[in-house]
Amino acid sequence: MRGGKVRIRRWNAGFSATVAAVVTAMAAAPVQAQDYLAPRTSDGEPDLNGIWQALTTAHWDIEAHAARSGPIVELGALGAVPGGLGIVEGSEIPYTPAARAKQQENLARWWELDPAIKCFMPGIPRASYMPFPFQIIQTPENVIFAYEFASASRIVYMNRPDFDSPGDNWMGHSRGHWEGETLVIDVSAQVPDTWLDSSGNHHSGEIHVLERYTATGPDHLHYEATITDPKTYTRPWKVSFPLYRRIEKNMQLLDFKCVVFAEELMYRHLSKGVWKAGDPE
Amino acid sequence: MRRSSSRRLAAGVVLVLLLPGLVAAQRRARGPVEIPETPAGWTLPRTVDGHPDLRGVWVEIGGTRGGARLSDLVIDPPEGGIPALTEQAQKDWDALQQYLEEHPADTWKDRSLGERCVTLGTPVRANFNQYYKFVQNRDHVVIVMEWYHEARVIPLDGSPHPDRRIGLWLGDSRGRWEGDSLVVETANYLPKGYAGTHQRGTPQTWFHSLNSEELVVTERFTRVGPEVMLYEVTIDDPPIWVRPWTVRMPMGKRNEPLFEFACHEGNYNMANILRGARVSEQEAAAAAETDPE
Repeated sequence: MRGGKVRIRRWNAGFSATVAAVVTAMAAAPVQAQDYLAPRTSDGEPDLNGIWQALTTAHWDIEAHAARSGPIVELGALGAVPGGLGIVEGSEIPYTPAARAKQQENLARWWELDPAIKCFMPGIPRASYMPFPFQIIQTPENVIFAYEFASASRIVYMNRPDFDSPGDNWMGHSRGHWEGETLVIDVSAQVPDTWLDSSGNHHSGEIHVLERYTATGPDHLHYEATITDPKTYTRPWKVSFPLYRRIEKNMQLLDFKCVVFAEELMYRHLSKGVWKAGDPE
Repeated sequence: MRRSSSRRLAAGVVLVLLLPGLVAAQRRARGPVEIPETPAGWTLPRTVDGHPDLRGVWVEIGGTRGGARLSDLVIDPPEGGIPALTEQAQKDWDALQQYLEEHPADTWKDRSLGERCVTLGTPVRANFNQYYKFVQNRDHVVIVMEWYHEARVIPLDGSPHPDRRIGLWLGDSRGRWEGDSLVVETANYLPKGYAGTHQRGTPQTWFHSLNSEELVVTERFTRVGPEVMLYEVTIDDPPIWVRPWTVRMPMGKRNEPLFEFACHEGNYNMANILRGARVSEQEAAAAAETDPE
């Protein structure tokens, strides 16, 4: 579907004042993905290259949530969870009753169970809204996503619908194509071990994610992902939020090799002078 | 100014750049490795932006796979072999070897960065069968390294390295086209010894290496045929090496995808090594108690 500017361009120039009014009105309304035509790459594709980051609190909780205290008393205000409007369309994840119960159990012990605490790769869609930047490097054959968190990365294979994953993956198996202005990525073959946030929202190994990246301006992408997992949810559901370009002149990814930040948590009990015979593993 | 911290050498990695063969190179140099001839009539393919086309999956074949001797990889110094360590670096290295001998697994920090699933480091390693997927557009070359799922994003815009205080495990890489070569200069290394510039000693310590934060690595990638890329790398780290040295080896093209290597996520190895060490200590203590000797 092409709206806005494309159609407007075909209008008689005499309508320009009207057009300007329409455009102004549209700018005030929530931006529609198709209103903006991105600059083109050397290969003629919409140019989504750059370093992007979400500005939500979805990494804490993708559903709507009030601010709440954090689990580490010593961290006080800085360890508390900020509130958020949520990124789930329709506000609530359509869990099966059993899956909702599991989420509640996860939430009660999230700081013991959240795989991201151990620096495990976050999977898709969580990687898209971790509070860390990621970089898109685009070519006609492959789009590379390089995430600062955990040095996670993934290779999107463009226009290769028959290329099935050779195995299951923490970051999934990504096959992409363009639909007009939108980069569409089909993410399959993810392990069941990742979470969707730090509130215990979860999925099974049957999760299938269809991502859509659309430029809505020079420095904004509209991100949405449709999540299907019949084992966990009663119907497909969607998350959406904007991604912001990190416009700093010298912006670059640094490394956040968080394995070294998680090792003490994971292995201290097995260290010399700490471990005792009979200790639980 | 040389900061004192640059002399701090730490135990690090892993399966270092130039595996045991280079130790041999110090004893006998044999001259440069042979690079396969460019086939007659072959012209360097170029991307839509006019740059040499390096896209695809490449594997280092500097080891026996390529029929070359590892000892033949050093092309500078011209007589071959790795130069000597500086006096201080040698002292630190010997002390590290000694420490690791006595403390093989007190904590996770006594294990290599590879076992810890942190990184294989840069630059390209020899004889490790690491797969590298090159993806390039006008402004960037990305080298996705299969092990440890790291994507080296290399800007080509002439921008400078960041503030020296920002130390990075893989260093900070900046690239440029020089004739038909991609030249990548990498600095801003953490002084943690993962850079893969050295290994020596017992097998146990092969996997540790050392570098200072002054390390500058200059790599040159030149495609010389449909299936062959020439790889040259110069290691310049004055606190560690008495002079810079350069290695050259071919890389071969592979028509295969990368697999996801989720090392840390499945790292039962580390827990088992540490638990094994603790149990051994306990058994040794029990034996000492029952044995009056």
